Amino acid sequence: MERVPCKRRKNSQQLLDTTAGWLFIAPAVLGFLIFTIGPMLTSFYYSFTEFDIVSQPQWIGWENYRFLLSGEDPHYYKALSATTKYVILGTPAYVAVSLLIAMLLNSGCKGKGFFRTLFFLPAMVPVIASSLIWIWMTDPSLGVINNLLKQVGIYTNIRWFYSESTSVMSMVLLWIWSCGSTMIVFLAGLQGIPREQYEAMDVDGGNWLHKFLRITLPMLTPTTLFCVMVSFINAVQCFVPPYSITNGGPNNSTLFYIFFMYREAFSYGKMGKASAIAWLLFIPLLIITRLFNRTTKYWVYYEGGEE
Amino acid sequence: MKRYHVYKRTLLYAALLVFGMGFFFPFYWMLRTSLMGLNQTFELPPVMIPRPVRLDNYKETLKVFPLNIYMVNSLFISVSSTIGAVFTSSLCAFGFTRIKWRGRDAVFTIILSSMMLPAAVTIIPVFLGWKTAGLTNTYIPLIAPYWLGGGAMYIFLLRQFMMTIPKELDQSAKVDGAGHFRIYWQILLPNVKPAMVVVMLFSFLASWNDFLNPVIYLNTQNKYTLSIGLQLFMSAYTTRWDQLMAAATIAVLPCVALFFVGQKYFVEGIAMTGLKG
Repeated sequence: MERVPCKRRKNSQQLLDTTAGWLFIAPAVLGFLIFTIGPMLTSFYYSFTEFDIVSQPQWIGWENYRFLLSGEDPHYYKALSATTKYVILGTPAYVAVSLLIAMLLNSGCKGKGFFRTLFFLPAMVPVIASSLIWIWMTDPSLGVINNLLKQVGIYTNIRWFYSESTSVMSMVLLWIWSCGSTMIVFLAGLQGIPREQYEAMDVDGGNWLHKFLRITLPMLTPTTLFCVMVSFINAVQCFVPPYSITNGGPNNSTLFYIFFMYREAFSYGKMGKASAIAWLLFIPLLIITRLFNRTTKYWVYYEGGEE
Repeated sequence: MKRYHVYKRTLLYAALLVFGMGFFFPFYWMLRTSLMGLNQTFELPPVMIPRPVRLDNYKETLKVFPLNIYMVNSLFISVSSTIGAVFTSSLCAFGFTRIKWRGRDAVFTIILSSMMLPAAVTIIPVFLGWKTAGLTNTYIPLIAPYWLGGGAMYIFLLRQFMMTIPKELDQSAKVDGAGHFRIYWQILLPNVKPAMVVVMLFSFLASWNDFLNPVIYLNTQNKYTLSIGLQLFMSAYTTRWDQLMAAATIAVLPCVALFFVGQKYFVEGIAMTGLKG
């Protein structure tokens, strides 16, 4: 007789807790529904319509996708190749510089805090401000970079953001300048590597290259995996520099994907087509990140096996 | 052996110095240009130190660049967003760590998965939604997301931190008859202050530096934020590098100040989540 009310009390406590739990996380659930799932579903629907905001969306089936993929759209493949170039040139360089600086900072130098601040600051400022600074520094005739090169005897006529052959590279440089937060992630990862490992290598007579290849890199693979993924996604979504510096030019060389999508949607009012552009990015991105994650078991080292 | 060591040290500091100068130089160049007369900015080869130092640039820039309006707008948006992010993300983190309920971890995983989604897919439908609601050209679309958890990252960060707080604290409060909200408010919040500061700094900076959303949603000049105000100024004064750099300095300074105030928290927060803003 006594167990029944007790059980009931337990059940009602459980119900209370469940209600309270859902109430506490309600903002996140609402946010997820309103700003993630809901928009994704509507965006998927819009991608099959012709929709110019003013009138109702008209169902046109696969037409948007066909138009983009068949190459009838003059800019789609240009945007795709510009972004691909930026991602392929930029991501490895960005990750490598972040790691290199983190390793320099972690090698027991004096003034570590000072240098850390120095390397981190560019990551803090509004991208529009850093774009402005870099336009000025890379000005082909008045800019300090070309003039300094001239003073050390390198007569260049590099036109940085203004030339088709160097515009993407200039954007990569601008991006690398703000690698501070990735650098700090690497620094945290490096600090997690036990000193004894290096000392053991010292006893065995290994040099710095051995240490780097046999200890640092393998122990750092989870951090590297994370940094590569985040940098990759950030690179794919690069928007402010093409918007503010080059307006996609010269000759569409910096017509990055998101800028292209933005232009179709908000300058030309083609919401349906822009939604298709978004989905054409989203699906390969999903596949790439999945594939990438699947390869991790071959090269990512987790201490103590499964976690 | 000793010789080799000295050689290595020198190389290390040389590398640090070269990189350090490379990273600092753009800031120096900005400051330098903001302090010189217009004519001097055109001098070739470029002058390294402005002579005379001209502070008037700032005064003149402020005359043509309505900084006070942009600054107040940016501050209003960022502060409102930050309050929302700190409050709602800590509520959610509490719900995900301190209350036991069925399906909790599954829900958390789903919400966490949205962290890796590229925002691009949702920009257009979210805009159309706000447009239907008649709320474009207001600050609501810029602030509201922060009041709904502010994104999975902040919740994740606070959750990780809350898991390190001993459960016995809640238990003893529960014995005293405290409800969930009181435990959250009186016990958990005071104990996760450092993580709250991290969320505060990140969300403030994310909102302050945001460019895409203000560009999409705001279309009257007196509502502009500092970032898009700067963009407008840039397209109107393309060759006035003295004033452009003064404006850039003004936009950069609050971020630098914020960084020095919260340096410790920034570094910890990034190391913890691997993300910024």
